[in-house]
Amino acid sequence: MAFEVRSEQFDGPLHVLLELIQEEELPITEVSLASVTEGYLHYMDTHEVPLAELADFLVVATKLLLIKSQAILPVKVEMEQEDPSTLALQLRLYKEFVDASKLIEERFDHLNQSFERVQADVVKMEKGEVVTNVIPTDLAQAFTGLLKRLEPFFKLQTAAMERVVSVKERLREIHDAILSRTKMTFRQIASGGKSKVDVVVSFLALLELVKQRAVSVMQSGVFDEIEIKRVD
Amino acid sequence: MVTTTIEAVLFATAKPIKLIDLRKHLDLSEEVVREAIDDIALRFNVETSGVHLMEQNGSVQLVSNATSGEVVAKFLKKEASGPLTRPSLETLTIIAYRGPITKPEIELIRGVNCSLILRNLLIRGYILEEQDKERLQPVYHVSHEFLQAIGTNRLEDLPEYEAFHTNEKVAELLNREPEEEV
Repeated sequence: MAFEVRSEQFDGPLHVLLELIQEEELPITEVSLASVTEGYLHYMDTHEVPLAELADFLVVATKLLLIKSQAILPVKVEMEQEDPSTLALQLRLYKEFVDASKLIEERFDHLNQSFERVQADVVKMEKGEVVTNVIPTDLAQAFTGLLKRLEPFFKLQTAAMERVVSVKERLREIHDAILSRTKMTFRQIASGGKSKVDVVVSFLALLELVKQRAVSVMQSGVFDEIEIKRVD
Repeated sequence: MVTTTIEAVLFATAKPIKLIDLRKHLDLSEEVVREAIDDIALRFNVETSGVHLMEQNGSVQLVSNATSGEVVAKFLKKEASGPLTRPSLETLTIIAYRGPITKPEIELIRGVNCSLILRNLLIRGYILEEQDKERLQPVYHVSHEFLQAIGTNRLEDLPEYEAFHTNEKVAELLNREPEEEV
């Protein structure tokens, strides 16, 4: 992927040629093309041309070499009808587009731009029953009904809150108890419990203490007494 | 009356509408639609109008006046899209001035493979690809989005459009090269 990004930004062979000629401030002719041949070959040596464009670079290189060899060889050999001026012509045309692209770029950078209208999303109304003859007490009743339906949700929340608090409290109780006694059983702790939830909370508190390494527990068999010892 | 209807349709649709679709739906001749579009352009495409008519590649669309671009962009909280690379810009220029144009033709002018650039320009929405039935290959032309980005209602308003679009040398180059390769 990195390669692809690079090849999109890589200047094409004609651009390289154009820059070479413009650096020398030469007109775009066969003669000047011949004179920048070495510069072009040097560019190919020193730059890593993307593979996708390598062939295009080589085509231009061979054309340059052909032009140069024709310029050097004194004998005018009637070559195939490969007109060397094609490259010069091509380059001249290319330059015109390069120049034009600068104008386009200016317009891109300019803040003058138009916008199309953003089409509004059409939301279709569902056909619902239209209620008539509503009096204020109906609304009050509806609201009371709504509150009633929400009740279980609120209950659930307070219950959860209580439990969290009691696990903490129970944890402290057990911790305090074990400090004075060094050894006790789970039955002793749970015996004060009023409900099943209480026992569960006690157990959770005990597990938490084990995790904190405040106590160690031992149970000799299934459903046997859990012995709690203080860890010193 | 026809002008009014077309104007209403263009306003309501917001998107570019093909002239040929207008003809079909409204059951009108090409000349009548052309006349109506020209009439709308004449009335809308003036400095004092906030709404302009954009025409490109046989599609017309109502857009905001480019001279208000800065304020509208701010209001819409539109951020400028990222800058284009120089090769992309060159390719876009060639397509704008010479479109509809095939990929080999673009590559002939630029002297280098353009597949990747074309794909990126397509993704950006600045150019559109269409199958040319005569040339049996896809041709590319710039989109309404491109014209909006450069704030031009039609390609003919680009600097030296005619000189470039009908440049004989370019035509010569494009015609000559394929024969050579045989």
